[in-house]
Formats: sequence, structure tokens, C-alpha cells
Amino acid sequence: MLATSPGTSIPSADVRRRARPVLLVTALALAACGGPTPEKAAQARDRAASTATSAGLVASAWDSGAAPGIYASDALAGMAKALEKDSAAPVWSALPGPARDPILRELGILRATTAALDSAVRRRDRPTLDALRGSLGDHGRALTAVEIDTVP
Amino acid sequence: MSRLIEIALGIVTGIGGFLEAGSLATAAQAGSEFRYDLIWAVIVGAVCLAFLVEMSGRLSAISKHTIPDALRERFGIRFFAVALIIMELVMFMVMATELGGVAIALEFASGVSYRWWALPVGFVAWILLWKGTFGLIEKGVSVLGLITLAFVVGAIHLHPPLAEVARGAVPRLPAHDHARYWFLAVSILGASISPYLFAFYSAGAVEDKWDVSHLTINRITAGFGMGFGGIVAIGALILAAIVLHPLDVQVDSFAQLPLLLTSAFGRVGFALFVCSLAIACFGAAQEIALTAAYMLAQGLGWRWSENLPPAEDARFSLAYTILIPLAAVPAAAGVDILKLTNISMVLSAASLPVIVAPLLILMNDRRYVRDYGNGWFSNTVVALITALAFVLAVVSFPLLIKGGG
Repeated sequence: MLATSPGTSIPSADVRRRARPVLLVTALALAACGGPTPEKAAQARDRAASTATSAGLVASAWDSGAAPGIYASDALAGMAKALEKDSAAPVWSALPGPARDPILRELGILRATTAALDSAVRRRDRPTLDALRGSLGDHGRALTAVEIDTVP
Repeated sequence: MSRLIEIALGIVTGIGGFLEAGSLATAAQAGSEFRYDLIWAVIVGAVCLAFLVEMSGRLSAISKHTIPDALRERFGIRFFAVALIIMELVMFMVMATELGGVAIALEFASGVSYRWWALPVGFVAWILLWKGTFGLIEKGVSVLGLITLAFVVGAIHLHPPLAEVARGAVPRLPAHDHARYWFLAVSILGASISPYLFAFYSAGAVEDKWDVSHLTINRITAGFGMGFGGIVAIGALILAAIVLHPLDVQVDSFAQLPLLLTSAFGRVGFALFVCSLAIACFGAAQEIALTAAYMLAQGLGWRWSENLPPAEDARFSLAYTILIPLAAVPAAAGVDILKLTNISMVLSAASLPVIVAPLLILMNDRRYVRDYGNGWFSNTVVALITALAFVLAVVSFPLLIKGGG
């Protein structure tokens, strides 16, 4: 039962004092949460580019014999899924069309390329893997080159 | 001679037991995003842990009390109940992370999703606790955990720039992404100064029947064991700084982590990584399961000892029998283990005041530690740790949201 001041429904001073740190942390948390912003979109873009680079590294590790096919295929499938999730993230709604469209296009290509890398590893198709790695690098660079204006 | 063996085993336990899913993931995240800039956080964490572990061992050797036992006796059941709930919740989350870490290692080796491995891993952890002794859990798994030294050898093998590494040992303000930097610093500290570690150590001192004659061993074990353990985490951080940072790769999945050792050792590195992750997380999961059961049993006055057959300390054994399968559920349900790791480490940091502040009082209470209480130096260090823990507790939640990614 919440303690209230006599004759009112206002919580007593004791309860208010105890609740203060909780309210402060909640307010800070809510303020930090916010909605989609260009800054968050820039972070999401960099994260997606990082995932694409990681996919290239995993494919190279498999190609050089440093990583087994089971792991490489599993990791690439996970990364393709992560890129698909990135494409559907609400954070892009913070961007104007000219910035959003190329990002979504590059994300789609990166996802498809990563899924194709997975399939090349499963087939042990090294020539295709080489070509796909080159394409992954190109589109990863194209993604990070998309300018996002983070100045409010 | 037997003392020397005891010291060596203690140090080995410290090194082998230091690295687990949390310290590995946070160190790799720090190295990939901020190069060597967060090495200081690993050092502060290891030093703090060494002091706290030494105090826990001293408290138990002199007073024959474990930390939960002393907490309840000195501060009353109300305070103890709050501390118990907070600690059990945090340990549950960290245990879920560790079981998830073992399951992920098995996924890398088999291609079968970690979700399918979580419950079998929990079962193996339980059966080992049910059948094993304290010595087997403490020393056996930790000796195997020496495989994590592969991160140190790998870091040396890739020739890091020593001057930059040394500069990273000095705290500094970040050049970019302030929220993320401090979030990772908090996560590293939470991963290093895990309250379960010193609660486990204190229970171990009672299990091994320590007395005043063990104080030197305690000091050496705590200092060197935790110090060298920190070096393993620094090794992982340096590898991430060398392998991932130049390519702007941020660690947002455990699947990226084998690349740290494959870059240094090729195919052997992959095997070393899988074994390191599996063994380190399995050892940590067992220690946490035991500590969670210890906290309950010691605080509530139940009979407890990992060296007794389960029939003789039934409630203690029942506690870990219930906790382990429950902690395997998040991984079995497909929760993102890296996110769970980050949240667990921040919560672990936030829970520190609950155990560090009372420990400071206990270590100055002559009824418990007689003439072996803290000197001014120990008191200052622990006071600083307590202040740090309070600050961490306040800042960690907003940082979790703003910097957690």
C-alpha cells in the first residue's frame, strides 16, 4: 500500500524522497532512448558496414583454411540475417529520401551478397567466393560513403 | 613444498578462472572500437578484484564466516534479504550468459544452433556439480582454463605497438562516442569485478578450512592470480585492436570473435578459440551456480558443502538443481547472448555496492577479523572501489540504453 499524506492522494514526503533516484534514472533512460535520429542512423549504417566487413573476413578465413566450413557457413548465415534486420530497422525513417534510399539499396545488396557467400562456402565454390568478396567490399564502401547529416 | 603447490594452484585458478564470456566480449568490443584506450579499465578491474578477493579470503580464514553468513549476522535478515535477491538476480543473468557462451562454442564446432546446446550444457554442468567435489570444480576447470592464455600468446605473436599499449594503461577521455566508451568501461569493470568471484572465493576458503596460516597464500594467490588473469583479458583486447579496429569492425556478435585467434594461428587458432570459450564459460557457469546456492544456504543457515553428498545437504543441492536449468532457458529460447552479456555485466557493476560497502565494514570489525583488519591502505583502496561502484551503479543504466548499441 502506497503511503500518502493524510487526507490526500499525494504520496508522503518519505515516499517521494525514496522514489527520487528511481525517477531520475527513469528520466535519464527515457531521455537517452528517444526516437530515431540521424545520429542513430549513422551508427546503424556503420554497424551494418561492420557486419559486411566481418562477413568478408569470415569468408577469407574459410578460403585460407583458417576456419572450418561449418563455422563459416553458420556465421555468414547469421550475418545475412543481421543485415536483413538492419534493412527493416525503424531508424532509417529519421533520414530524408536522398540519404535513406541509397542506404536501403546497399543494405539489400550486402544482405544478398552475404547470403550468396554462405551458399558458395556450402558448395566449396572458391571462384564465386572471390568475386563475391570483391563485391561485398565495394558495396560496404558505398554504404559508408552515404552522407548522413547529423547536425540538427 | 605443499604450500608452494597450493600457491601455484591458487595462481593457476586465478588465471584460468578470470576470462569468461563477459570479460572476453567486453574486451573484444573495447579493442575493436577504441583500440588500446580501455586497457586501463581492465587493469582497474583486475586490481579491484585482487583487493576484494584478498579481503574475502582473509575474512573467511580469520572469522570462519563466508560473506553471506557474515552479512546476515552483522547487518540483519532485512538487509541480507535485499542483498540476496539482487545478487541472485545478477548471478542468474551472468550464469545464463556463460551457459550461452558454452552453447555458442559448441555451435561453432558443430554447426548446430546454440539454442539446442543450452539445455544439454546445463545438464552436464549440473551432473558435474552433483557428482564432483569443490576441488574438482575449482582446480580442474581452472587448470583447463589456462588454454585462454592463447589470447596473450596471440597478442604477442601479432607484435602490438608497445608504446600505444602502455599509453592505454592510463585513463583518458575518448576522442569519439563518449557514451559508448563509458558504457564499455562500465561493462569491463562489471565483467572483472564480478561479486560472484569473491563470494565464491570466500566459500572456497571455508570449504578448504583456511586459517591464519593461509593469509600469505591468500595474498599471493589474490594478487598474482587476478593480476595475470587481467593480462588474458588485455590479450583479447589487443587482438581485437590489431585484427578488427583497422577494418572498422565493431564486435556485435560472438561469431566475429574466432577471427581474433585465426588471424594469429590459422586453423589451430580456431580450435583454441572454441576450446577457450567453452572451457572458460563452463568453468564460470559452474562457479556461479555454486555461488548462487552458497549464498542461499549460507545466508539462510542450511547445511552446505560441495564436498558433501547431495543427500546430506539436500536444500543446497536443490538450489543449484533448480537454478541451472532455469539459467539455460534464455539461450534455449534464442536470446541474443552478446546483448545478454552486456546487460549482465552492467547489472553486475550496478550490484557491486550491495556487497562491497558491507565488506568494508566487516573488514574493520574486530569481532570478525580480530587483529587482521584492513590497514589504511586497504581501507582507502576499498573506499575508492566502493565509490567507483556507486558511480557505476548510477551511470550504468542510462549508458546501457544510450551506449549499449
